[in-house]
Amino acid sequence: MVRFRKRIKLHDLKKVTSLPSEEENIEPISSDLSKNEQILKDLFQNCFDFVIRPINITGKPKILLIYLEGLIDTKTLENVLLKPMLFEGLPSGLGEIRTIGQVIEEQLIAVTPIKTVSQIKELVNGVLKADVGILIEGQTDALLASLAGFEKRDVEEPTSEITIRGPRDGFTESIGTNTTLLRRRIRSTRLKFEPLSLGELSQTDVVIAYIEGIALDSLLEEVRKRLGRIQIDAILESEYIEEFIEDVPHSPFPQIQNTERPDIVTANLLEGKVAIIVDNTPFALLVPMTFWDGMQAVEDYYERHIYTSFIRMIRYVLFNMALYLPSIYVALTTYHPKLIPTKLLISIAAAREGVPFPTIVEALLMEFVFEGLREAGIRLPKAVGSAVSIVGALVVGQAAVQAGIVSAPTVIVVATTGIASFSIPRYNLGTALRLTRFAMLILAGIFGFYGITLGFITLTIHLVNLRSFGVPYFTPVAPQIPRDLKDVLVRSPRWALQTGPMFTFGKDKQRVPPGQKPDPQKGGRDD
Amino acid sequence: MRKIILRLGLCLSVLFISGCWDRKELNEQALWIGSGWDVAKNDGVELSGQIVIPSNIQTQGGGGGLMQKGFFTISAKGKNLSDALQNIQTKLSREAFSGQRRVIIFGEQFARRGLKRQLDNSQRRADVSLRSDVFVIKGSTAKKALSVSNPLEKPPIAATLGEHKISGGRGNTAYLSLLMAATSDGLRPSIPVLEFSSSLDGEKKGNENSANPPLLRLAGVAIFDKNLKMQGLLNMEENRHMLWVMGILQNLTISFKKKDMNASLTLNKLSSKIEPHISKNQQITFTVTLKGEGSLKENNSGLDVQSPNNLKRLEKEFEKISQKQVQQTVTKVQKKYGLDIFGLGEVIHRKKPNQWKSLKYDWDKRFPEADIIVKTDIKIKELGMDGPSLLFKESEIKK
Repeated sequence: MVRFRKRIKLHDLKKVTSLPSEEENIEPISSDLSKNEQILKDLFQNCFDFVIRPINITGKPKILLIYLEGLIDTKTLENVLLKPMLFEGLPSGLGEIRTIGQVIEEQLIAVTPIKTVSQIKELVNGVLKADVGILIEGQTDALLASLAGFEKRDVEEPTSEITIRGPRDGFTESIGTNTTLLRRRIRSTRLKFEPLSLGELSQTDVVIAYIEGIALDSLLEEVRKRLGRIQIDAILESEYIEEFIEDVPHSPFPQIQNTERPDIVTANLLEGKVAIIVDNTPFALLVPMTFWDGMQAVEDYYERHIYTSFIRMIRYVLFNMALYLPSIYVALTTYHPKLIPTKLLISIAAAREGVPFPTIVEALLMEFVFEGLREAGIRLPKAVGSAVSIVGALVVGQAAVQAGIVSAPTVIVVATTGIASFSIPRYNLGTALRLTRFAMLILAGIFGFYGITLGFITLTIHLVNLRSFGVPYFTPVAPQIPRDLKDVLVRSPRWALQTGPMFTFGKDKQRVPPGQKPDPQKGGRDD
Repeated sequence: MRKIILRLGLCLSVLFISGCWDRKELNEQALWIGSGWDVAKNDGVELSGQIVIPSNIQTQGGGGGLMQKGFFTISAKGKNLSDALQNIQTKLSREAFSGQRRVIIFGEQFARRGLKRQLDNSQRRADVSLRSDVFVIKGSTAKKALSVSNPLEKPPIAATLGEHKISGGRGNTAYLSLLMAATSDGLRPSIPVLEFSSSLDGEKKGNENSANPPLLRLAGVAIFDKNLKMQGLLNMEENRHMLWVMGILQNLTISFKKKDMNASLTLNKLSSKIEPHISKNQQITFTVTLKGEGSLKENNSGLDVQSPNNLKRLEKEFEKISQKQVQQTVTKVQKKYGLDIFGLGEVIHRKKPNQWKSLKYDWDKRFPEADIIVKTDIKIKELGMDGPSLLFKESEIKK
């Protein structure tokens, strides 16, 4: 009985909060211009940026231009549409044969795409998407001219993913710019941009980008299906979408890659992945993502392969350090001091002498302060940001040790861990790591190495069970695909990377034909 | 929701109901680096420990002033080791932690009384490391040995580890090999011996901060019988021979002196091969082939070692002298102590297991009667930078 009541209440609540539907304006455009004007004025009531601009040319039907101030390029509008009509008048003699609508269409078509609509709703939607609506007296059709010209940021170097060598352009908040950046990299008809509109209020443009013939249909279908399921009022950032379409919502590990860099997106498209580009954010989504994607920086492919392989090894070591170092330190010193070399143990014991807290409390304290410093450093304005690092280094680093509140080895361990966690190329994988580290630390503090082992097993089980759009998170290591390993643990040279990852690229395609390894026989020097 | 809370509660309860609260902070523990075992009245034991004082070991800059001792020694008597430890704990504010115990020293009296009824404590406890070095202190008590400080090492007992390792002995597996020997039929235990010495040989030792501080010196090896009672001593040279025969010697310098020359050779690749032979009338013969390779360190003569013939001659000399010395040591052990510290019985055990079955019960009687033939095979691999010594004139050089 109680349950039943609850359900009813929940249902009522849903009804109240659901958005008002906009079905009332499915009506055709009337031939009476003033009626149309009234409808539009009602719809755009209290919209400060809404402009209705009537054009009266003597002897000709009245024309209404409707648009949203700031969204369109006013200069083009004036030069292309207004000036010819106002100063030169319409071409005479032709007026009888062609309607004025056709004339305007022809005039405009030279500069901008144009669309004819017959419903008020379509007209309104067009205006909201930065088109100019043109209504003509006596006509039941309206023209939509795409004259978008709103303010947007220039293409700049992405601040979240920096390279030494490589292209310096990054996505902006404008989806048009972003798709252009991709198109300029792949000049092929096979690069497809499927448009989509998400968010009942925001009507955000979303584009599914893929390369036909490389991306697998099953994956595309899945992406379309998952995106189609989303029901939300507005989408402000691609994370909104990410949270709707990821496979395991409560895992700390990211299952969808995001990036600001068009070259990363292009490289992934070429491997058969699918990108989801969202308007109003420079961050594009890439699916599916594997753990190893999170461990690879874009520069891995722009530097010499030997160096990259070395850096990858180091990164894997640092990954483990970032995850386990503090917990190993705590476990060793409090549970298993037997395992520390005698001299090191004596040094640690000497440093710990007089420290009032247990090691685990000390480590948690320092990790906590470190996280605080990091967060403060990001949130603060740049001018104040440097103050944080000074306070961090002096107060926490030195003063705390000198005052005997924390021991020097703990500070060293926490600082090393911090550096290690910053070396993870993907920021969101790094955050997952930091969360897991706290769990490990607590386990180590309670159970010692036993706890770390338990944590390790749990983490491994979780990671190998994760899937991103059907692709196991740890491919190609588990399940093992030997073919793909040459771009995971090391980075093989370009001519050896003949295929893409099997799960997204498929089995029987190739990127680079074999036999391209440079050697003296092939030339490279003149005989 | 209720289910989630229940599950979380179950998980969290593990933290409180399990018996895993054995967390001990480093500064709640006394780091026990060296143990000393001595005799006490009524067949009791006196346990001593060298304990690190961490705050005196701080290596941070500044400091200055007098060097502070990084350790202190503590001891108490008891019926056995555990009892003694309990008595020690009454004057120790932190729990004694023996996981880092690196050295055990037996007082000579204690060793002669026998170890068989004393060692169990060290194997039974999980927190005690088997990776220990073990010594007998000659003519003194372990308590005193643990109280000697060392100018280089903090804690000082670590110095004995270094001495033992550099001189080519068994190092930190000594305790383990003692246990292995104690349980074996064909090998009698031997433990390295320490003695009191001073920095300057032959002079009376000064105090700790003088230029002639007291030191502990490695002085040979103590021989134990089946019942783990110490029977006698071999000196350092004999100790090296013994280790060579056993095949665990790391390095050895042999020198010889004749009327017109002296030379030294450092062997750093040593091996030993023992071939047992049992004749029809049960006479046991061992052929011990000792091999060594090394570099010439000194050649105070006009002998030009760059010519192969001279080199051969030199090798022969070294072979002769080392063969003689090792044979002497072997004979001494056989005749004087009659205890198979070389593990020759184990060789029979391995190579002739059937015959060993009947031999092993009276091996202590059979060993002194065995014939042991020592052969040496020495090769000079490095000559150094000269043929003959530089100080010899052209006319004195023997090509």
